[in-house]
Amino acid sequence: MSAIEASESALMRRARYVLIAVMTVVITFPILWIFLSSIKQPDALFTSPPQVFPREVTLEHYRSIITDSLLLRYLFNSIVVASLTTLVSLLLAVFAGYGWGKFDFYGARTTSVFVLVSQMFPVVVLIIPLFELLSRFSMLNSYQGLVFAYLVYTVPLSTWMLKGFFEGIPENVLRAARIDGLSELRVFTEIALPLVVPGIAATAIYAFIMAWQEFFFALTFMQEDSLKTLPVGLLGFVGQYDVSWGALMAASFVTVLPVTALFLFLQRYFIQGIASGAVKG
Amino acid sequence: MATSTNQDSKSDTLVDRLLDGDISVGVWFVLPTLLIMGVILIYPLVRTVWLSFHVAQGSQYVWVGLQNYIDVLESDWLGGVIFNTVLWTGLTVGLQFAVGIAAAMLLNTKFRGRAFVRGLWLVPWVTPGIVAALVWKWMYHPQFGVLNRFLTDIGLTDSYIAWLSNPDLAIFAIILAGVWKGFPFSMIMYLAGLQSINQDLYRAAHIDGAPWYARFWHVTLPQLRPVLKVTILLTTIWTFNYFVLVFAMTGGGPAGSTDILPNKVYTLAFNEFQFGLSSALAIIMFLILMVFMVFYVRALKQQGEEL
Amino acid sequence: MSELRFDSVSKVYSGTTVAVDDLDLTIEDGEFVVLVGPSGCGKTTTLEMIAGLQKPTSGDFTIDNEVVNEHPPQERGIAMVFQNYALYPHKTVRENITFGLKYTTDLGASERDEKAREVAELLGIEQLLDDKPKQLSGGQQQRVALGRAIVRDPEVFLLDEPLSNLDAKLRTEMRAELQQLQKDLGVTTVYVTHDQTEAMTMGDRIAVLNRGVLQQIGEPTEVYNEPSNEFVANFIGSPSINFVPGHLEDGMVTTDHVSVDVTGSLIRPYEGDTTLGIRPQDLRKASPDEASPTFTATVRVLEKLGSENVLHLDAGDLELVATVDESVLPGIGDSIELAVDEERVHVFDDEGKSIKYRYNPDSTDRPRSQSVQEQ
Repeated sequence: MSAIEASESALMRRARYVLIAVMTVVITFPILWIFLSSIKQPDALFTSPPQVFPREVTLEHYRSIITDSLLLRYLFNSIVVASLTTLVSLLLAVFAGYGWGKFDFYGARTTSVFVLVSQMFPVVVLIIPLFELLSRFSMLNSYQGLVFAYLVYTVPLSTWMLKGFFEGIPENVLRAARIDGLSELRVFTEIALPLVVPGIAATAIYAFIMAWQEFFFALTFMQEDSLKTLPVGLLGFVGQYDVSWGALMAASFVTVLPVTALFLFLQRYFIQGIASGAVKG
Repeated sequence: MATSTNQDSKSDTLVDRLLDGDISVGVWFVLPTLLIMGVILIYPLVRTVWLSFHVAQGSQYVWVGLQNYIDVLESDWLGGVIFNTVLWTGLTVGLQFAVGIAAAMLLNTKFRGRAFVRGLWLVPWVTPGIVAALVWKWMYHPQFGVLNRFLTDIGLTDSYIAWLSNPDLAIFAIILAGVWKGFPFSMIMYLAGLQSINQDLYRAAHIDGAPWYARFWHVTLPQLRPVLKVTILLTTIWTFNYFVLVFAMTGGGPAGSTDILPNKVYTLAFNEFQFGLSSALAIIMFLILMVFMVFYVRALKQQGEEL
Repeated sequence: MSELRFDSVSKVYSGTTVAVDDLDLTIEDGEFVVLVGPSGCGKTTTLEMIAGLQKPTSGDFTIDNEVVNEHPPQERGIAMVFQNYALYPHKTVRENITFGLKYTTDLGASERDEKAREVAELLGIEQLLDDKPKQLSGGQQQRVALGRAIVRDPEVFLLDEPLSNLDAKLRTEMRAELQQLQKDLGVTTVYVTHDQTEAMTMGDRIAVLNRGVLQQIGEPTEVYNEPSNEFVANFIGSPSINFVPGHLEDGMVTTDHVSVDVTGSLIRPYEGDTTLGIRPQDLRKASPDEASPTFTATVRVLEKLGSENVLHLDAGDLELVATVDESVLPGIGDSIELAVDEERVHVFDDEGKSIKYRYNPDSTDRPRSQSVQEQ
């Protein structure tokens, strides 16, 4: 970095700043557009050419999605499902990440590679049998059914992320604890776990975001309107022949806002975790 | 290295060794996850293979051998779907790489508010796919869409373009949305890679008089190589599987011009209820993916990581 | 109190890699033994088998005549200091020191804190008790790691390269301090290092390992003067010993450069190909009327260390190193005549085993070295 800056002329620096600004506008524009569309008067949405900034701001669309649709219910469902998924995934991944990260046992390598590869399984390969499975155990249209299916998405990468964090603990610290007389379970709870708290945070955000934005499992396994999550609920505003764009954008904004806020707030942990989970293997 | 198992007992059964406490306690830590993975991954995989050799008749499944595979291979849509899948995957991954590395290099320079800008640039990635699909569809709207307004404002076109209902354009419109949605992952990986490059290499290249493009070519790219390989493979696999944009923006149309493999598998099953045919196509898709998975695991190993 | 004994102990990893091969070794109560060897020689594996962190693949490891192969670490009365200190990063110095007491003793919290304070005073770190490891310097972390071991009042003290992360000056200080501490506490101590200087200066006895095989165990001067084989001779001593290929016949070792009469000083009869071993310190500038065998060599590099000079020399195709007095200052490219006393040369047979030792000033009333390779 210092080397790059040393050779940078004032002109190049200005060009770099302009480039960064332009990219920021382009990248964030769709999100901004959701927001702008959601606060426009209904007839202002359908002018040709469209106006970029609303002349008059209205919360009409937000009022309508709250009173005329099950949006709050969808929001509640999404929160319940994403939270439960995060909890269960973490519980599994914390143990598994430690097992694979810190122990060498028969089949450790093969099984951990399997889990790594499984995050790349096409969802469409799994969706029909999972549908049958949930239906057999009467878990269609249930929170626990959807959470169970979501583990397909969340457990593999969560496990790998945490495995990376556990591997970062020096082996000798754990040995010192064994010599200090701790049982294996205590070595885990008293020494290893407190040292990977940042990793647990990263993994939690990851699992939450994955569950929050999932669409096809929710679409397929939650057919009762009152149990739909936000992403699927959005489709309710897309009619056969016309789309209520204002309401749709307002509902979309409600869907985007929580994860984006959560993410911007905690991005430091998250980035660290993703990089260690995927690059370091 | 962790404690290794005792060699003398290699011949004992797995159960004996578990009960003896001879097997490392590591097994107990991974067991719950392995069991769950077995139920939600292995069983469905095996079941899909089974389904691909059957067709539903009433509530019964009847064995038809390879008939589903033959039907898939002889279908009139397969060629188009594969073409679209390759186009979608190839172009999206390529553009994600280009945008991702450019963005990473910008983020790897010093400027005020860098962490905040990095956060903003990652927002598309945490935007739910369905929301991305819907807002892009809205921006692509021929009459009321902001994209057409923008293009006419700067004079690139004077007539409104029907982005998603033109069979020649629709897939490119979706690819653009896909790049927007997916590039931040590549960006963050490349950024991590860039930050781990030893700055002394740049100092040395500077002293050797290498201009910036030579430093990029001879220092940055070779040093990023392992990360590049893993990231490109990973994004290839994910993009290949990713179909919420197609599903919600065009549904595969117009005239099948945006239909890609996973979308076809899904619609065959849940719109046409042809589970056997859908399963056969899913297995074909899985086999194609296996190739990439093998390369991915190998690339990780080459990186010198202990798997 | 606590005698450690290995009886034909082997450790094999994943069925093929032999880390420790048929080790027989007894460490007496209160003794300070240094395990030394290059990396991968099995010294750390040996230490970890003592600690109970690894089980022997075969053979028995006993403490006070009780086989403890299967005993977990906490039942062995040991404490260990690790190379990178292995302090618990999320705990304060006090918590680090008292943590083991919590699980291995019945002491209450206040008693544990009291003990931590005593140990901290002993090591001069009492003002750091509330700090986290991250806030400490390397030397301070080292002391905390020691404190954590001492507070356990162990019967056996295990140290795995504990000084390797310290800078040179601190390392020398800690070397003396550790020895003093061990003498004061009287605890059986096993110390692992790859640094032959540490081995020579610290141990009551040194055990030299190579590729999982014990090469020799003995007092430092014994290992230095009476190495069992070429490996030990080469590993112990700095700069490393010079080897000159030659042939032994009728009590004379002849080489291309020098001939040495070894009549009467062989430890067993031998004739045939040999290697002559000459320590750099034993080469000196020949006097005009030199009686000892002499070399002629050309000076390639001269290192001035202040109290002495190290010469890198060429004698034909042979490269030699000599440590000479500071007054000997030849120019680069000069030819120099070097002498070596017959009693100071080592001779090895064609398998690399010793057949003649160097003169050992304090070897008279001590039993012969326990030379493992001669079985």
